[in-house]
Parts: sequence; C-alpha cells; structure tokens
Amino acid sequence: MTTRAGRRVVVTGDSTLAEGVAAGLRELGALVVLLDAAYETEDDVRAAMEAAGDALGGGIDQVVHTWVEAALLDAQVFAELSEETWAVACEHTLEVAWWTARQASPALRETQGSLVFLVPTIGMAGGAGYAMLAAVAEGVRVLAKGCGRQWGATGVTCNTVAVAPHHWTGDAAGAELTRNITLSVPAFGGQGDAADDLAPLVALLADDDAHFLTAATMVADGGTWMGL
Amino acid sequence: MSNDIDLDGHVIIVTGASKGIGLGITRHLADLGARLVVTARKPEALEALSAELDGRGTPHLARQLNTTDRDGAVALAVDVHAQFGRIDGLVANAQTFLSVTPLEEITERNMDLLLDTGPKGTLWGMQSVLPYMREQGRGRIVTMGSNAGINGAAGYGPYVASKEAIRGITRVAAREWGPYGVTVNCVCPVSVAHRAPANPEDDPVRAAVFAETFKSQPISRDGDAVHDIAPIVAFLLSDASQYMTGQTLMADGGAIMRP
Amino acid sequence: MATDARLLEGKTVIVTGAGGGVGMGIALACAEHGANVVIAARRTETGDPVAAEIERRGGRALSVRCDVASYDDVHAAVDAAVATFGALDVMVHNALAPVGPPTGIEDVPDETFRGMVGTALRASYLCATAAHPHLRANGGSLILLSSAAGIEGSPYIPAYGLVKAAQRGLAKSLAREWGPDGIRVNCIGPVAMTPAVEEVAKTSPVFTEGLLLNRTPLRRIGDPEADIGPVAVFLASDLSRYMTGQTLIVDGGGFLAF
Repeated sequence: MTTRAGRRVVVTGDSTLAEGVAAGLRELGALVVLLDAAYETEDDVRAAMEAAGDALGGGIDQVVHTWVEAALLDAQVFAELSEETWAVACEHTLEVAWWTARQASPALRETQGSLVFLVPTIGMAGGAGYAMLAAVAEGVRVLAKGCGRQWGATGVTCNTVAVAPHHWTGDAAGAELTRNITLSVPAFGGQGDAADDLAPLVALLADDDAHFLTAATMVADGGTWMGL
Repeated sequence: MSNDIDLDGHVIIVTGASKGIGLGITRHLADLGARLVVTARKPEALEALSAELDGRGTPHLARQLNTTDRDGAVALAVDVHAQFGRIDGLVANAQTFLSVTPLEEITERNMDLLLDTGPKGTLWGMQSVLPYMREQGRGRIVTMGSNAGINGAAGYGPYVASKEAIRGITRVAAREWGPYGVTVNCVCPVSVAHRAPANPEDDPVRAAVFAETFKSQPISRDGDAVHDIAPIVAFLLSDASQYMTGQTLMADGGAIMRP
Repeated sequence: MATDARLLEGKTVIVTGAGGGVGMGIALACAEHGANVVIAARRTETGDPVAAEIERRGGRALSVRCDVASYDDVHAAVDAAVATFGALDVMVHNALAPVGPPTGIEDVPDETFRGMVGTALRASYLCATAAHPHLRANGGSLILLSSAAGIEGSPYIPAYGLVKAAQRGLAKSLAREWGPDGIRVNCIGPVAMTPAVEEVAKTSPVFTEGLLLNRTPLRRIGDPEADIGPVAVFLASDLSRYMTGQTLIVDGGGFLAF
C-alpha cells in the first residue's frame, strides 16, 4: 500500500455520502474517481473499474463502495412493497456490490490494496421502514468478511465501515431509526460528516499501518450505537 | 416421541428465587411440574416462597444461601442429590444489584460485591452441580445476563461487568462441559417492574424514563417474569434446546438485536 | 402448561423446502406439537411423503408444489394453507438452492449466485409479504433459516454468506416494523445432518471428524427433527412471545463468537 499523497481511489455512489467521502479523501491527498452511475450488468462494472484505473494512471489502491439504488433511501411499508421494487432496489443493489467486489479484486491484487464497504448501522440493528436498506447493509458487511478472509494471502484487505443511517435516509428518518436502536445520545454529539469524519477512517484502512486489519467492521457513528 | 419441552419432575435449582425474575422463573417452573430447589439470602423471603410452593403442592427444598458461599453451594448440591436422586437443571439467577452510580465513583467494595455475587457466585453454583450432571450424561445450566449488560447501560458499571463476565463464563463452560452432555446458555432479560416506581405519580420523571424505554422496542412493554422471561428459561432447561450451547438469548422484546 | 402440552395445537404452519433435511425436521416437529403443516417443496415427489408421514403419525398436513422464487407458487401455498386449515399462523422459510462447491468469489458461477438471490432473497420477500396479512390477523410469526455464515461470512461459499446475512438484516427490520402488528420475526442458524452435509461427510471425513466435531462441544452434527425442529417450535410458539429480531444458532456450540 501507498502513502496518502497520490493514492489512487475509486469511490462508488451517487449521493452526498459518496461525494463527501470523495472530497474528504481528496483533501488527504488522494486522486479520486467517483463512479456515480447505476450499473446494469457485471460487464458495466468491469468496464467502469478498468476505465477508472486508467484514469488514475494505471492502478487502484482502494475501492470504496457506497452505492445503493435510489429506492432504498425512502421509507417503504414492507407489506406494500411490490416485487419489482424489491428486485430492482434490494436485489440489484446487492448484485452490484457483489460485482464490485469481483471486479475490484484484480486491480487491488496488483497493489495489495483495500476494499471498503460503507453501510448503515441498521443492517446490524434493524430499521423499521428500511428493511431493504438493512438487508443490503448486512449482506454487504458479511460479504466483506468473506472477501477479507479469502484475500488474506494476497495482501488485499476488505473491511466495512458502519455509519449512521442519516447518510442514506436523511436527518429526520435517520434520527428516528437511531432513536429506535439506542436510547443514548451520540458520544460525540453528532453522527458524522462524510468528508470530515468518515473519509479519514476510510483513508486509514488503506494505510500500510492497517495491512493486518481485514474482515473487520468499524462502527463510526460518533458513539451512537454500541451493539457490536 | 416424548414432549421435548416437558419439565415434569425435573429437579431444578433456582438461586435468588424469592423476588423479581427469579421468583417469576420459580413460579413458571412450578407450573410445569418441576421439583424445585430455591435459594435466597433472606430467611423471611425464603419462608414466604416456601409457603407459596407448599400451597401449589410443588415438591421443593428451600435453602438460605448467599451465592458467595462456595462451600454452601457444594453442600446444597449434595443435599439436593440426596433428596431427589438427581440434578437436572440450574438457573444461576442470584445477583446483587447496585443502584445507578457513575463509574468514577465506583469503589472497590462496589466491584467486589457485584463480581463476588455475579460471576463468581454463578461459577460456584455451576461447579457444584457439574459432577452430578456429568454422571447423568445430561445437564442444563442457564445463567443470567442482562439487556443492560449488552448495551453497557450508563450508571451500571459493576452490574454490566458482572453480567458480561457471566456471559464469558457461559461460553467457556459450554466448550468444556459440552462433551459431558451439559449445555450452558445465558438469558439476557429486561424485566424491571420490581424496580420501577410503584406509584408513577410519586416519581414521574423516573416513571417516564421507564415508559420511554419500552416505546422504541418491537414488543413495547416490560418483560413479565412469569409469562415472558420464564418460558425462555424453561426452553433452555428442556430437551428442546439440546443442541444449543454457549448461546445468549435475549429476553427483551427485541430491544437489542445482536449482530 | 400441562405435561403433555402441544405448543402449536390448532396452529397452521407453512414450511418451505420441507421435502427433506432441516425443513422436513421442522415440519415433523411442528406436527408433533399439534400444528397443521403445509409442506411447500419444489417437487411433490419429495413433499408428498413428508405430508403422508405426518398423517401416518396422526397429524394434519398438506403438500403443495412450491418454487419459493415464484410469486404465484408462494401465494398459492399461502392460499392453500388458509383454504384448507382456515388460517396461517407461522411461515417458516427454509428452502435454498444448491450452494455449490467451495470457491473464491471471483469464480462463483452466475447460476449459483442467481440461485442464492432467488431462493434466499426473493423468496424471503415473497414468503414475508404473502404471509403478512394472515400473520397480522393471528399474531403470528415469521421464521427465516439463516446460518452462522450469515454472521461471520464465508470465504468458501461467499454468496451463501451474503444472502444469509441479508436475511438477518431483513428479519431484524421486519421485527421492528411488524412488532406493532403483533408479528414476531426470528432466524435460526442450524448445523444438521442433511443430505447435502452427508455428501460432504462421505467424501471428506477429515472435514466432519476433524473440523466439525472437534469444534463442536456437543460432539455431534444435529439431527433435523430432534435437534433443530424443537427450536423452530419454540420460536413459533408463545414460549418465545417476548423474543423478536433474534437469531438462534443451533449448532452444538461451535460458533460462539458473536
């Protein structure tokens, strides 16, 4: 793994979370390509990853995956959810995460790089009205554990950073979701800004110092939920 | 096929049986036809419980016992085996409580009290029954953790330390005693009725806190010791749970959903 | 509760994938406790004998052909349960496509991944939503079969770990969302001697004796009916009325690190 200056990072996602993380990483010296498209096929993901690697000068040191399909961001009454929405939103989001792990693998092997998934803590704690988002979060988090274990011999690390749900759902819904999983106020008084609070942790995971940290979940929500 | 949840005639020790969750467990097990061994620290409470069990026609042995009394636990197990011929289950429930105290004010005496009665008392009880269970090739031990322990409830430092230590001992015992056919599992309840203000109007702030606690959990009420908590303990004492060991079962209305 | 109490007397339970293995074990155990059981298996050749066995033992059962990834099949199974037995109280979703041989994530065939998504994710959605109005009417419960792999992940069967974990995230959220409706939602993570595990045991005694048994304090692999079934009965019954959003690991004590 590399020093932070000029580190080559791919961030996926089309949200303020993704933009914030990208901005924060840039401030720490990284070169960042933001993949904000919604991918239909695994080939789309492969092509995008290759193009990103080229744009970054021929290699990728870290991939940070935050992308979810837009329907996961709104509260849904699960009993009224259509099959099509479930497939297009929940299953497809998991599918893209799966493809991303597979397609990031070759490039990250070259650099003994880092794959990071950002998920909301409701995957571990449950979230009424956000069952699809929680299913995705937990599926991705445990996928990351499998990848971390599998890739150990190659030097590629794979970790999850679990953060407050407001980064996906907005403040009002996020506050309600959080209130239902803890009666405590955040230890730090707030639940985190993507650029200032989350990006540095993501950067840490690609530092040489973190080469022995893999298949882990870091909860970074300002000390709100302590269930892990 | 015999009823796998059947506890009729099972010889089960319940420590700290005279109040709160222990009393609820005792009553439920009595309903199920178990032969009970009940312990408590205070003789008056123990007598009242014994009288109640007599009234129910429940065969039982009542013993005044502090869980810190390791020799007393051994002696009790000897007497139980002598009287009933077997020991099927242990519910290591007794635990001293300490009211809300910030960590920086906790004294060594506070810690000693909670750790002596909690994890150490639990272990002494477990040790006392093991030889009999091992000989039988079957045993069920249920330890008591707490929802507050998993959450790390502020103000409950020594209590949380005790309950999490108990969960640790539960896992080690599961690993070591599994080959003997002894399962060891932990129940983490929330059942605070006996600590809530008896009259909400007298202490509205505290009553409001208690009420608020339950609003945000899926089963939005306090756990009833007999009908909500005890059946989970009974499951872990029965054959129905024969392939589960080292586990922590939440009995808290879904307040905590462990990862 | 009397000595001979049957915990599911008069209740109706659907079990998917009940033609064998854990599903069959759960179906038989529920029937022993007095439930009407709907055996929803992919092929009636496997489902019919299980229903017949339940009836031979004095219980009531119905076998329906059900591809759990099919909206029509899942809704038909629910409708059949209600039409035959008058209500639906418990939905147990257990069926799963083959997990495939051990392989790294890069080499998992698309078909294997699709099978996991269809039978674990789509099916969970279908079983949950189809059952919901009936579970709501009766204060019923939804049980999803997950796995320790859904907690700790798997480098050997990564798609399995992913979907088993997603099911837990779903279960916890539905537990919160449907709690006010009086519906409980829980998961079971079993280790049991199913035909699939028997295959592995035959070809790899090192796996069974070495890894599995040495790591299992209770020194055996579970029996679907005697070891897993009663835990499903517990979760389906009023005994667990104060539990929701939980995952019970029933594996003889192998996995404790959570």
